[in-house]
Amino acid sequence: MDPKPENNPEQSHLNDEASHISADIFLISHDGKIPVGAKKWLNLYVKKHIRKSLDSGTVADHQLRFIHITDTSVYTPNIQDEFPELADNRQCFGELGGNEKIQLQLHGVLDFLLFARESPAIIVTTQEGMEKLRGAPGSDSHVQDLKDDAFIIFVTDNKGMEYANRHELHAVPWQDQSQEPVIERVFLFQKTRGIKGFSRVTQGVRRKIIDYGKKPESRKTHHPVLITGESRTGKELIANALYHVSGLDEGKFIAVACGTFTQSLLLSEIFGYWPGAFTSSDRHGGMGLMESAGNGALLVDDIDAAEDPTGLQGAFLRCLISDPPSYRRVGARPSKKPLSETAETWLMFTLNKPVRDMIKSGKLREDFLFRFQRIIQSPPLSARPKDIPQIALSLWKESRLEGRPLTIPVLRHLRYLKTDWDANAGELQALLFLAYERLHENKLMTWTQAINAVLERGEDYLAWYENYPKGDGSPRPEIYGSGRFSEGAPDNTGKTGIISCEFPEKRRETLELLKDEIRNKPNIRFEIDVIKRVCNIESQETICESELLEKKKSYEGYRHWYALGIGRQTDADNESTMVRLLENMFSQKDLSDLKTSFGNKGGAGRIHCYKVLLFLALHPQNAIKRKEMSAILWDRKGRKPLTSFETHREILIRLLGIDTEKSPLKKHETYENEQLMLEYVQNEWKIRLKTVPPAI
Amino acid sequence: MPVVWIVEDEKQYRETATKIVARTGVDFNTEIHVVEWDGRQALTEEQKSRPADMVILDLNLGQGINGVEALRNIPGFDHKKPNIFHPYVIIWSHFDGELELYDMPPVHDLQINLNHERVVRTYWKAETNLETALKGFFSRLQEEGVYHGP
Repeated sequence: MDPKPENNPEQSHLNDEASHISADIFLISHDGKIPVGAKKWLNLYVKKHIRKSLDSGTVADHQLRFIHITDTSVYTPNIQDEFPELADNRQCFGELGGNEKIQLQLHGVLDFLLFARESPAIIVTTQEGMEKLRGAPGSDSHVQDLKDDAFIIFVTDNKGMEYANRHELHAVPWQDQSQEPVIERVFLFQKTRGIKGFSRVTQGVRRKIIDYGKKPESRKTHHPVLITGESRTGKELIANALYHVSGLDEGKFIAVACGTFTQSLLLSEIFGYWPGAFTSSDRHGGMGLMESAGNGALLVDDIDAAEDPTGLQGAFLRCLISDPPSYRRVGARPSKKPLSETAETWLMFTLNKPVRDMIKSGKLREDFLFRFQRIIQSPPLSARPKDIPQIALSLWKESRLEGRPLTIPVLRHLRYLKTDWDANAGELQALLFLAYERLHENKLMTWTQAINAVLERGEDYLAWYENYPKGDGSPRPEIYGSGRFSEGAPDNTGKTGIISCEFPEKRRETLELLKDEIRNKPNIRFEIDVIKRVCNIESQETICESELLEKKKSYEGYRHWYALGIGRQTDADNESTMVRLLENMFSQKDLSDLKTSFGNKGGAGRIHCYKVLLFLALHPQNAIKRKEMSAILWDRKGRKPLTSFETHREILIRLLGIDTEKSPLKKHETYENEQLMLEYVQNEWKIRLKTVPPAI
Repeated sequence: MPVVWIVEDEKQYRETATKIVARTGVDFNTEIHVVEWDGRQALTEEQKSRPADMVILDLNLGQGINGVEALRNIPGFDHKKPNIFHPYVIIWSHFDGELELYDMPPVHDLQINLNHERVVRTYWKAETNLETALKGFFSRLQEEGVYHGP
């Protein structure tokens, strides 16, 4: 070991040495002796590795690290002793960093492999070693992760091969002299280093990148590439990796985000313009990005964010079909300048909405889509949870924050924290940074505690990620469920601090909500009275009833709903009507369950309860309407349900179309303002209510 | 088993600290090995064989000995290499300890690279202060896994 002192202990985990390392070779053995077969294999492998890395650049960029693991210790073997033939190529071998070594010693090989490693791993061991690795303390999900890892390669003897086949591990025998598969995989990783993670999904993306980065013989430029995927899934990283792989180094890589310009400006930015193309255009014309990218690559980012996406796609149609792409500057005239020019630019496009939806909504032209023979889909974070530790590590390193390093337990915690990462890496980043802020304030807090605290408080925009209503009408299964946070969270009894503002879809939750509503309402009588006094509309309940059932999912339903339960002479009659309606929506058992929870409320109180229940039971499929409903039932931040008083107010505001900004309704939130409310009601509501509902 | 060193010259405080450490151990459901040292006497073999996971440190050890200087001798602190995961240090000292810190020789002379993320200072020699610090550091220690020096 080199005893070189470093003055800055906090900095040492930030070094970027990892990018030079092609692979870690773990030698796992019982007593530190390497079998002869394995030694031969390794000698051959290292030679081939060096030869291959010489082909693609310098040896120092493709370092190998040897890590020896015995029953008692972890050490880096001396290359000269172990492999005397290879000692000449010293620059080809790296060493474990101090932090990494400590982590490895503390938490064992398995955890290191799964959570803290940054390069592919070649594990040279026998069957016993594999058994020990697989049987190391850890849950089944660890073993599953080990299987899913595409960049752990076992090198083993015949017995070990049998074992590996039985347990679906990726292994090669050390008698085998052809080492191409291993080398291929190691270099596949090294070439696409910009992309993080080792999962099989990611490996597919890497394969595609290598594949698409090659220029076909028959073409003058690369095939144009379309990269789709949600935001923050690494589309731009993929584009960068493609460019890096393609070997177009002498050119340039230019990215233009379509959302930043207006449409006409964007076109002149991309294609350039001739003098006089538009008012105040440059006298000499302007060069477009296509031209300035030269024989590099032009990345057109987020084509769906453009002002007129279909127009923009139309503008590109001709470039996509010709090779090299030919285009026309804005304002070209045959008399003046050439009508069309060509540029040997590689075109890449990114799209951050699902293709199917885009076509359905008419924002993506099918003919544009069909011009691509190369499409890469960037998988969302929830499709590759295995990569979370690596992504978190790289986010952390990029951020250059100092302080406590991310250790294996933290990364493991993040890995199993939750399954739905709606905002992908953005959410992970926000979580990490918010947790970091807490740690910075308090030395006595652990990472895990800080992460859990951030999640529980639903801080800032993390809360927004958790709460924002989904517009696609798909039910979100895990909103109220327990176990959304990891098992590690100490005092999580299934209730979460964040209540989603989404409209509840499930019966059970509806019932729970209703019970709460009833329990916490001291003022039902008051509201019923107000409504009764104010709205003396005629009884047309039968129409209301059928209308309601027919349109039970429509916005119109509000009106009818509103008129319910006050039309009949007696409370008992009103109540029985409501019950009839409810029977259409709930089972007998649910209903009787609910009735018991009403307790000893009077007739009017029960009617109110039924009304709320009905309201909750209406669930419009249209997203906008659903948002409206949730706005009625939940406060603006989506934190807590509105009281029934506020609910009524919101409904009435909507019914009457009152502008909340101008009207003085805001002041009426307390009972003290009852008088004002009544005045307002007498002047406005009566008139409106008599004229508005035409259906009744 | 985690090892806690108590570096303190007054017997009365040593006993208090030992009591609190034992109580914390019960809370965390672990056994804790306590090593007491007054900071002046030479370390015995038994003490040397116990690298620290956490040190409770008094700054004024009497006879002009500074607590931070004494830290050098405790096994677990490697002053040659930078160590991100060195033992946790809880400075448990009277308020005038702060004044002493100004007289402290600069850190590079001591050849100890203290990571400030792992050092906490309490200004009063109160039991609650010590207990809070101990609990916090113990949960961090549990998260990283017990570690006996490099």
